Amino acid sequence: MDLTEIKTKLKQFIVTEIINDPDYTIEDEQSLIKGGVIDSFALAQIGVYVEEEFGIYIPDDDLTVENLDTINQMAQRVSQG
Amino acid sequence: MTQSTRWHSASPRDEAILEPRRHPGVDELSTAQTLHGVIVDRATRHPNQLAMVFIENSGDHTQVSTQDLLDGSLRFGAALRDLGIEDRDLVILVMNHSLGLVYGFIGALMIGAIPSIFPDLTERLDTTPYLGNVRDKVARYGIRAVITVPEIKGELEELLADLNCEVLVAEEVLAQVGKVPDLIPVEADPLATAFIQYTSGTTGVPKGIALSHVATLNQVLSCYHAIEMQDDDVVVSWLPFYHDMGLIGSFWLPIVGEVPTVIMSPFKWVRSPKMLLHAFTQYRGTLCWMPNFAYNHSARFIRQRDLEGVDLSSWRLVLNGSEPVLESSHRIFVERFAQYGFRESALVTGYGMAENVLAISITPPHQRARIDWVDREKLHKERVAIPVEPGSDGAAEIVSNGPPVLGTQIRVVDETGSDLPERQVGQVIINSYCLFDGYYMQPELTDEVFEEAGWFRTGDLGYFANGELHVIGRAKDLIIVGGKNIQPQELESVANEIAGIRTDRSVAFGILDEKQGTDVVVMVCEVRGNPSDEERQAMKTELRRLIAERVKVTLGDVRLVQGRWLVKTTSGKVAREESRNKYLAEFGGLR
Repeated sequence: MDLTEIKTKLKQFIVTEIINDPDYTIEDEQSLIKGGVIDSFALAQIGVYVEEEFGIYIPDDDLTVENLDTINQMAQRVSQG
Repeated sequence: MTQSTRWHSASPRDEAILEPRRHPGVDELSTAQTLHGVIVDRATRHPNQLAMVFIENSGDHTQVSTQDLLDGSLRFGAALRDLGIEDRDLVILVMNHSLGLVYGFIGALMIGAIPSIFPDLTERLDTTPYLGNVRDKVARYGIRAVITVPEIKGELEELLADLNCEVLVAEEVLAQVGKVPDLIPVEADPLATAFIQYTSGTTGVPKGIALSHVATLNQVLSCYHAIEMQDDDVVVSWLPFYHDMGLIGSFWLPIVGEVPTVIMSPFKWVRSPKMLLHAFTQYRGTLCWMPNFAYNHSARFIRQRDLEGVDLSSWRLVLNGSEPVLESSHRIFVERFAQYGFRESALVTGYGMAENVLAISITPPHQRARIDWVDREKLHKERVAIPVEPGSDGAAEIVSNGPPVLGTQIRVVDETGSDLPERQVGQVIINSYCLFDGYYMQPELTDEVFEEAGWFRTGDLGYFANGELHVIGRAKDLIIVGGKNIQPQELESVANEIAGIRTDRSVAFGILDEKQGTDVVVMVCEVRGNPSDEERQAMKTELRRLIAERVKVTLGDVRLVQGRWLVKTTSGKVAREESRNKYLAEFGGLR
């Protein structure tokens, strides 16, 4: 799966499942957790989603704000496998 | 320092002086009358007993004996004393969830100072507004010392330079080795305020709930009794210490009850909910308390591979408290974890608040909390709980909150203060041996919540059935998200700062998200003119950011509306319940 597709899916998941606002546009470089759009609770949720959707297991210790604050960071992490 | 709060004096707590040991079956515990006295007494009798296991963020497990706890606390007490902190001075702890926080809190008690714990600085947020908040509180309350971490020491010292307040770095005290400093713990008055628990207030000024040694010890023994604590119990907790369920339930209860408590960081747990189950497995844990959302968070967000080797067969009780209890949350928890040995008889519930130190009611142990099936429409429209066939159309599933804990009385009353019969919904008022002294330095607020005879108005709505309380709603528009109380006024005032949102034309309320097992915060804001999509997007982003920064919650839904949308009362105030109904009718709830 290419990066663009991963990003699209991640954005779709966040706007529909986490912030309940499908009209909201997330930018690739937007600070999601530091910017208060989602909180660290969502990291556990994203961990589960990424495994279900992309088959990628991100260990809990890597589910951090530093690692996964933006769509770009999340997509990079997913594409690394 | 002088005490300007007019203390509430009509409560039966005065009659309870020096009587906390009267509860049956707990005579063998410490007879000390102060919180720090219990620490000294336990360390004297059983110095090598395991008091606490602290699971560090690094993954290390630090074992703390009762002697370690005493020594660590004495070091902090001496360090505060050396800075000139005296009896009745206020001390706040502005630091991460750590052993230093525990020692610092008890150390302050040792010298007669009054500690309180500031909510943790979370990693996602900018430190500037957070520290500004600390400064405001120091100035407002005349706080004499802040115990903190090295990372923010410099910034804090600069910020507090013009105030008479010392900054103590916990790591420097923790690094001390060798002889424990000579410090004779003060003989505190058991009825004096021991510490202050902060909770959010309607005006943006937090309410400081002042709690005495006796009230706290009475409450702890009430809980001890209610859950039938035993010698072989082990508490496991991820709760923060600035929350009453963490500080009282997961620390003071096991300390007084003389059983070990296994503590981990709430910030680590939210990202890694498996930690709790692994700790239960490793330490053969038996007891835990957590807000409703945590059942959903655990059941939904622990990955299968992380459950290998998990064994929950020792777990005998988990108390669901501090936000409305959903039976669906209990169900998904059992469905997911029964195969790992979790027993549904462990599912008990409780109702409480920091004003009563912790619990007001708790359901009986060893049995799943009872469910009362009632007619939903009659419950909300006629305020009466009529039993109906379980699962039938229009039935509401109300989970019992149990009978009052020992030493606490509960009444359900109407607007005139008259008692209502069973199954009629009214306001819950309480009186007890563990009521708070008052809101610190807010005497008017204290007067508002007490009736003349010493009964405290909880503001919550409920009914009695079979002698058990069923809480069905919070009055005063309070929103509870993941066990955290949020006043809608706080959120609405933040919206006033966003360019393009009309002043005083925003409303905030909670909507239950059953998947998450908790309320989420919804805001509807009226906007000026006809903003473009880009402008709307920018307003939402800024609102979400500012709310997270100021109120420390993320928004579950934001609607920007045009024209006169808000429902207001005749006196011009926001009618939140009506606005919420309009949101549900117009938008159909969460998207």
